[in-house]
Formats: sequence, structure tokens, C-alpha cells
Amino acid sequence: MDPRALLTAVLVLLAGAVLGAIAYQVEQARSTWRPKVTRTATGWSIRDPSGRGPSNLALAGNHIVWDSQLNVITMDLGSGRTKLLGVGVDEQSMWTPTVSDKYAVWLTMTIGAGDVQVPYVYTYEFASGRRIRHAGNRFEGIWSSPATSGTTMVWAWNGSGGPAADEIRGEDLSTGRQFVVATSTGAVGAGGLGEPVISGDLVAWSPTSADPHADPQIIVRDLSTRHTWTIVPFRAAPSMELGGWSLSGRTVVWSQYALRPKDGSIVGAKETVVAENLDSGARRVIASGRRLGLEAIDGDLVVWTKQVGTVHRPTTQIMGLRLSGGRPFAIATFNQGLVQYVLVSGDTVAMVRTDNDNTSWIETMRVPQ
Amino acid sequence: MRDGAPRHQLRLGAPRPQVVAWLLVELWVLNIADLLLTRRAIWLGFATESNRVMGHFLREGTLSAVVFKVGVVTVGSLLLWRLRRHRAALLAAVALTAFFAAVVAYEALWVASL
Repeated sequence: MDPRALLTAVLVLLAGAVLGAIAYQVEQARSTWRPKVTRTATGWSIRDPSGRGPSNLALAGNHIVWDSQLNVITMDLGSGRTKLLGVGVDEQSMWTPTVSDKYAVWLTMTIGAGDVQVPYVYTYEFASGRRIRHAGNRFEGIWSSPATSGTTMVWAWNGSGGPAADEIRGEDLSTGRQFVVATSTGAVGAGGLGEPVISGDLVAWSPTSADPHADPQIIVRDLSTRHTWTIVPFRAAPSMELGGWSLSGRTVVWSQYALRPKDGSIVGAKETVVAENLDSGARRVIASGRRLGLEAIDGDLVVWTKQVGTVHRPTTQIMGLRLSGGRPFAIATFNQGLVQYVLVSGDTVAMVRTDNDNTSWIETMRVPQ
Repeated sequence: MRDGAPRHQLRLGAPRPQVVAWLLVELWVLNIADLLLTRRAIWLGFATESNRVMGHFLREGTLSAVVFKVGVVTVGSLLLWRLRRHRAALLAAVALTAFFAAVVAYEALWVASL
């Protein structure tokens, strides 16, 4: 065998590999997923240069994850380094990403054999940089985006094909152990289980009811003790509506609206943000007034937005209150545009802001001490 | 070709059939690497198969995709091997190997960056 023949073949191989590497570098330089990250006085400003507005923010520990309407992207809040986690390629749709201090989790629906939609749940472990695609029958019938805390993931599941979720299911991502958190009674008019949230060992959901006169509920279940709390935020009334709600540690916080008596509209309704401690049952009004919204909680810090100013010149305040004591305080005030999401984790607040020209971007900031 | 050089010999002196043989071995290995990297990228949710025929086989399962892809390249390689004394066979082997090497290098860098 002539060594020059092998040398020639290797040279062809290397030439091709170099071309491939150049193509990769050119593509990376022209990629549009990478957001423009700018350090601000107390945090970060994250803008998508292609103009796609961010949505579905998730924040935990040192990581923020969002969906840029095409890609799932994460950023390290310490270094400002971004990473592309998932892409919405052809024949694939992506659902809301969530994040814990250990994992980012997102769900995609992909067209599989026989044009059937196949759900895949992806996890990205921050410590190892390892991605895992979780497939299998257990996600067929998945009814909500998964929620995650620590190493646990929970989701709503619909096995009957009915109009609502039948079960809340969970999985320990470190061991692969699967379990059922709750099952619907299946009784006529019982309604369905809602989209779950999780904080530590506590999983919460707000069940839907077929009875319009049923009291709104938030159910909280402890995964370790199986103890269940049923919170009734208010007695059912045509003039009352449950807004958003959130869970952190042993506290549930929610907003409730007193609709305008004149026309039953939520616009201009009086909103009350309420927190309830699961152990003591103590209920506390955090804020009350018109044009409040977007409450979030982490640890003992509750944040919400408050619109002041006029309709034409709205001013948005991000307000905070520590449940351990003290008075409400302003975290930030914006004289332009709107705030679409507010999240809190530790001493970091993250939000999606929208300018008057409908440009949206993410902003994070430290909560003043 | 130099004056007096054997008929099936390249300018730098390597016998053409041997070069074709090595290129076809590389092509076969690169083909497997392309399949594995494509499957990995699809598994990670980062890619879809742009080749409709391969896309069909990949959706049906790994085994059918392996059989189809390896089969096509094996048949093509055997054809080129039969024509190894022709300059066109050498050029085809060079072009295919360089192309597959470029694709595999691109895919490998992509997957490694994730």
C-alpha cells in the first residue's frame, strides 16, 4: 500500500473539514438567536436584535430562561453569558420554559410518524451542561407546561381526552422516579385539575369547576407528607374573580378582583393582593387598589406592579413587600411603556418591558436592601 | 501526469485506485458519523432532517434509517470502486468525501457547542 495514497485521502478529508469549520463560524457570526446583553446599574438589559419580543420568562437562582417566540434561551445572571437551549424548528412547537436552581425544562410538540404530535420534555442541567430529551408514553396527554423546583418536575395530564386535566403527575429528574401528585375525582361537574406550580416539596394547582357558583380554590399538596391544604381565596360571587397566584416556601399569594359593578368589567376593577401562610393559616392583604397586577413571590418577598399616572402617560411602579416586616417599597418606577411580566428570585427581579413603539425586552435588577 | 509515469497514477505519484479506496473508506465512516450526529441533533431538538427521504426513515425508526443510509452509500461506493481506474470516479470520490467531511465537521462543532 502506497503511503502517498493515504496522505492524499487525508488531505481531502482535512480540506473538507476546514470548509465545514469555516461554514460553522460564518453561521455563528450571522446567527440571530444571540440577544444583546447590556449591564445596567443594578442588573441586565436583554434585547433581541431581530426584534422578536421575549415571553414566558422564568427565573430561579442565578438563571433566567425565556422564550424568544422561536428559541429557548438562558442567561447566567452573574456573568451575563447566554446559551441557546432549544429551537423551534420546522414541525415543532415549543411551550413555556420553566427553571429551577438546577434545571431548565421545556416542552415541545413534534410531528412524528403518522403525523401524530409527539410531546418531548427537554431538561438542561446547569451544573453539568447536560441536555436530556425525556420521551415516552408518560408525556402523551400532557396538558400543561411542566413546572420545576429543585430536581422535581410536575405537570398536568389528561388521559381521558376530556376538556380538563385528570391528574397532576411528577418526576424526580435526578432519579427518574415518577409519581402521581393528584387525581381528579372524575365525578360529573367535578371539573378538572389546573396547571400546577411547585416550590420545594409543595405542589399547588387551582382546579377548574363546571359549577359557576363554586368557590375558587387553590389546592396545595406536600409531596413528602401528602398533607393537603385547600385555600378558598373568597366565597364565590359574580362580582369577584381570582387573578394570578403564586407559591413560594410555605406562602401562597394571589390577586382577586372586585369587578366593576356597573358592567362587570375587569378594567378598572379593584384588585387585592393577598398572602396566606399555610402553617398558621394567617391571611394578609399585601396591597389593594386599582390597576395593580402581576404579583410574584420568592421567599418572604412579594412583588407586584402598580399603574399610576394617566392612561396617556402611564407610569408603572414595581412594588415590593417583605413578609417578615416593613412597609411596601418601590423597587423601580418606569415613566414609559408597560411591564408585562414580573418575577422575583432571591434579591433579583426580572420583567419584560414594552416601549411605546411595542418593542419588548427583558430587564433584571437587584431589589434595594 | 508525468511522462513515463504509470497510467493510473496521480500527479504526486499515488496510485489512483489506492486513493479511491482510501477515500471510499473515509466516505463510509463519515456517512456513519453524519447519521449519528444528525440523530443526536434531532434528539436534542435542534434539527430536522432536510432530506425528505431520510426524514421519512428517521421518523420510522433508527434501524430503517441506518439500513437506508448505509445501503445507499455502500452501493455508491461499490459503483465507484468498480470505476476506480477512471478519472471521473476519483473526482467523484474526492468531491463526496470533502463534502461529507465538511458536513460532519459542521455538525460536530454544532453539537459540541450545545
